[in-house]
Amino acid sequence: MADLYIFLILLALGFTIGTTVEKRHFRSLIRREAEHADLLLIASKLPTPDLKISESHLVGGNAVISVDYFKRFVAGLRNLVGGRMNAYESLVDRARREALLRLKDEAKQLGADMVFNIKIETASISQSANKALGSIEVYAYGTAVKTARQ
Amino acid sequence: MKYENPKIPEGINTTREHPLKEFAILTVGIFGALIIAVFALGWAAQWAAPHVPFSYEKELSQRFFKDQSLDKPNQQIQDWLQQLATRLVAVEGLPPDMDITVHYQDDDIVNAFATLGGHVVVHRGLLKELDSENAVATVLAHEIAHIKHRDPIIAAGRGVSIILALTALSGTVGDELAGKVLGNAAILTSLSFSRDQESRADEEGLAALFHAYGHVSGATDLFARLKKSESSLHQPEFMQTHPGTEGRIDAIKQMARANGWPMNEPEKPLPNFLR
Repeated sequence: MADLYIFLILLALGFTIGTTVEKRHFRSLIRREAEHADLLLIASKLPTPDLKISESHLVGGNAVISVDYFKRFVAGLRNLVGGRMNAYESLVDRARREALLRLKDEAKQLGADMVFNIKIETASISQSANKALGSIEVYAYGTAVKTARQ
Repeated sequence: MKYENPKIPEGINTTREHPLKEFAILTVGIFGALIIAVFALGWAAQWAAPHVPFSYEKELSQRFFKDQSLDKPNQQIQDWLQQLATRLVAVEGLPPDMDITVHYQDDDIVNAFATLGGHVVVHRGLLKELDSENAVATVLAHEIAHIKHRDPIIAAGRGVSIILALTALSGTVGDELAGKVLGNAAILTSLSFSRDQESRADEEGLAALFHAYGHVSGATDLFARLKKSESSLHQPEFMQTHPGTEGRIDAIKQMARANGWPMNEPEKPLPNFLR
């Protein structure tokens, strides 16, 4: 019986704290994305020839986001029946956006106004032996360029 | 060439659905299916278990019941219980290959139970609550009826299959604590006889009591005693596997009346060494 109570408490804690943290993170992401909207992220490998480039640097941003107890439990149940893994989708979304924002931070510090050749790598960091997802890591990198605008 | 980064609308990569909604749907759906599966497994085991030969059941139980040597007074009590059981076995008409072995446990636990292989265990704590041979015979007849109905092997079959299924499942949930909770639930749901089995054993036991003594006096003694000590920890009836004490007394009285079995004949006293 004690196990059941501990389990329910962990579930409730995971839900309340996890949801609050996630909401706050999304608000912060939306605000910072608006602030950094002037710095362009371009997926193409090379800029078009008409763009005059004076400087280029490798820039990167890395983010690791952990799963909470509630999400892990819901995902465990979802594993049984299949379907859209809502609990983890928000996690991946947050990690990806956070990594891109950190990349933009670095690019801005270098005085760049565009980043080309954006690449994203992802990895899951397992916490325990029973292959449960612990946290997810997203690393974004690209080539920041300073353009000589006409 | 003009480059731009349009703002990506929210809610494409994530869902706007409340996380508790998914949680509710998944838990209700999966645990609903689980309960149905557990019932189906239990039912299947119940159907299959009586087909296990009694000799195999006996062999299985030998591991748990090593011959233990009792000191002289306890041996005397056990022999007396065994004799009483043998009389009741004859009355209840057990199949010839089914034999009952009574074990006397010298401790304070107020309990008696029937288990695999025709073993019946009676604790001293329970005997102390009983003050006539008829009352002891009621308990023994009830336990022997469980064995006649193959209830222990049914419970074990149900228990083992449910525990196996839930353990396999708890592994896939991928969370240690959730798995432990599931495992405990499996043990709780399976290690006892159902209320239906208890009622049937009560009926069979009462009939045996009548055929052995010609009356059913003393049949409600134990329950009357239990009722007194029970009032301190009150549980609703549906929580217990045994039918409520009150309900059992009523059922016994009703059955005795319906069959015209007298309930107020003088009871046979206990032998001196049990008083």
